[in-house]
Amino acid sequence: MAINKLKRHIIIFVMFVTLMPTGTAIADFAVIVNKDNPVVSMGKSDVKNIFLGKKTFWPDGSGIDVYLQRAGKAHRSFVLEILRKSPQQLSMYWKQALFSGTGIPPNQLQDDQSVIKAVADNAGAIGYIAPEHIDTTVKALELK
Amino acid sequence: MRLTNTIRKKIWLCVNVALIGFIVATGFALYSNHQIKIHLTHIRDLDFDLAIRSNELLNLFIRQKNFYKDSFLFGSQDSANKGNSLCKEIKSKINSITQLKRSFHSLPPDRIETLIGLENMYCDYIEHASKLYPLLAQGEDPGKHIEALQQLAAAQNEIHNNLEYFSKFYRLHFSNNVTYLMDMTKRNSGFLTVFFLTLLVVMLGVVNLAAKRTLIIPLAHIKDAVRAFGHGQRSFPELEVMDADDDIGELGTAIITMTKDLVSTTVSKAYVDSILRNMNDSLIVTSRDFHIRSVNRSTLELLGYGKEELIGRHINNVLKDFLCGEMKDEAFDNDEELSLHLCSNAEKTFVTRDGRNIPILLSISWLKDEENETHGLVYVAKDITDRKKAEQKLQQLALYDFLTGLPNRMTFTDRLEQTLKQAHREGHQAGLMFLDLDRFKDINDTLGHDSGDALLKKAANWLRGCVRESDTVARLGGDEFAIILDKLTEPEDAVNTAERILSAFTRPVIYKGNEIYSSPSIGIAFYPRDAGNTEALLKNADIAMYRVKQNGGNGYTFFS
Repeated sequence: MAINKLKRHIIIFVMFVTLMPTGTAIADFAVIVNKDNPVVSMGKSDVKNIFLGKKTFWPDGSGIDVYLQRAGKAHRSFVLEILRKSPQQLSMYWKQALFSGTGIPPNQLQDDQSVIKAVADNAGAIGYIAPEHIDTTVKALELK
Repeated sequence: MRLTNTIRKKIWLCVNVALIGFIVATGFALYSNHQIKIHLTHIRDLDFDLAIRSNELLNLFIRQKNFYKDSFLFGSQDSANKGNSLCKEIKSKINSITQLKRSFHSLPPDRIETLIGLENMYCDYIEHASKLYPLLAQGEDPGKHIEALQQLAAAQNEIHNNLEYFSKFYRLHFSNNVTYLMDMTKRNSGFLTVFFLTLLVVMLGVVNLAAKRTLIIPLAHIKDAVRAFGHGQRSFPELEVMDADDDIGELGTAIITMTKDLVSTTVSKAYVDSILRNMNDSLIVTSRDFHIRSVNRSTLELLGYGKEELIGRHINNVLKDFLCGEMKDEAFDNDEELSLHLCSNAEKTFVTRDGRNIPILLSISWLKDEENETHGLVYVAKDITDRKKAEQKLQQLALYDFLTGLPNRMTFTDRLEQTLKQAHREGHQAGLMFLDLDRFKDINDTLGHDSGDALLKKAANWLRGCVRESDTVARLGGDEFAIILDKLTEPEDAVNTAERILSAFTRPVIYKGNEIYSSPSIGIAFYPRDAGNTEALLKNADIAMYRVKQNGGNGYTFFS
């Protein structure tokens, strides 16, 4: 038993080391909010909760409008890294929520431009895009 | 208690009281069993079915929901169809539950309404679900039906919750009913136990009390009365108050009647005891082997013994010269042997404790019981000491002179004859002195009869002092005395005696201050010299004595 436990610890340790994000390497996505949003930074778990529909209000009490993307590199890496799901899992997650009535799936947009546009037009919106597409109309959140 | 006047009824009363108690207890047991049966039937027919069916319904619904979910999540048309196919089954299940509940009128109608509401809700839900989910499974974009999906999910959740609630409710209801039943059984058992125990205690008390009041106490009274009767008591107030209509009361009354009859027809033991105690004659009872068994008071007083000293002793100890005969054991068993001892008014002698002899008149008779069986002998003795004394006195008076105590003429004559016969037989002489006091008549006349009597008494003493033991001095009457001189060897012996007499009379008799002088005239005759028989001898002695008188008295002379 003790040996099994030790083995398991070792495996977990190895996985942890290998899966750990390698420092501040340039990410494949950026989380963006409306320019007027006072929030400048956010914890990764908060972001996750928001995008899984578990946190629906900004600190000032206004509602959060979440924008997902249908596909793309940014979408993939965001879902993997922040939500810790595969895109299929995420879609299943929201289907289940829809079926059981626990939540309504967020809006899904075609590409980064649509996201930027939607975020720029909506004060309570949040979304993610590839970092190279960030422009002045939106504000990128610093992830902690 | 008038109702219970026979023993049979009394016993029946006790038995019936006990029986009624146990019938009541059995009734309670039956009633409680019936209640349990009703509850069990209800549980079997309704609660159990409801719990099972509602649980089945819930499971069916969950299966259907899962089928729909699969169809929705994975786009499986097959699952959607499967879900739809369950719809009919669920509806019929709901219906069966409604029917079941309807068949029990005891249920409140609002429950049935709730169920009908649920059925309607399900119908509404399934109508939409059975269309939408297959559609979505075919690849329709759910984004277009979000609102419908939301409504379906809400309905689905509500139905699910309701069904879950029902299932849980009926399961609980079932288990509660069973628990209630268990509690009821336990309570009934406890109650019945307490009831039976109480009943038992009450029964014991009632039966005890009834038995004691109607049987034991009256019987105890009767027992006491019979015992007291044995000790001589003749009135029984406890028995008097008994109910004469009662069996035991009848017994009591019978005893009272018997006692009264006995008192009026027989002599009581106390009466006999009193007679025996107070009779003056001695009464002794002995066993067949002559050992004293009882004595009366007179016996004890006469003999000076204590009662305990006498009981058990042999009759020989008190009855002098009692011959028991041959002391063989078998003799005591033989009535003929014993009958030799029977007597009536026999003169016997008792020996007292201090050895004195008491003359008695003794009668001995049988002591026999009602069957004529001999148990011993009864001795009745009369103390005749006084009579004996009187007899002796009479004898004294008949044979001896009253004044001087000397033999009188009759005794004298008798003795003289005896002496003469003996002298004749043995061939020796006997002498007879005839003696008369000189001037006795003068003394009597001048000094009085009492002086004469004093003189006579003194003269008698003197005469007795002057003769031998074997000689007899007698007073023949008046102032005449006679002396028989037995076995004389020669006449000179008589001379000596006569001389002694004359010298004795030289002294005076002093009576009331008077000196009385007297002298005798003595005539002496001898046998066989002077006469051959008593009459002749007397006559000759008398003649000799007259000769002395004629010569002036105070002297003696021989007939020849």
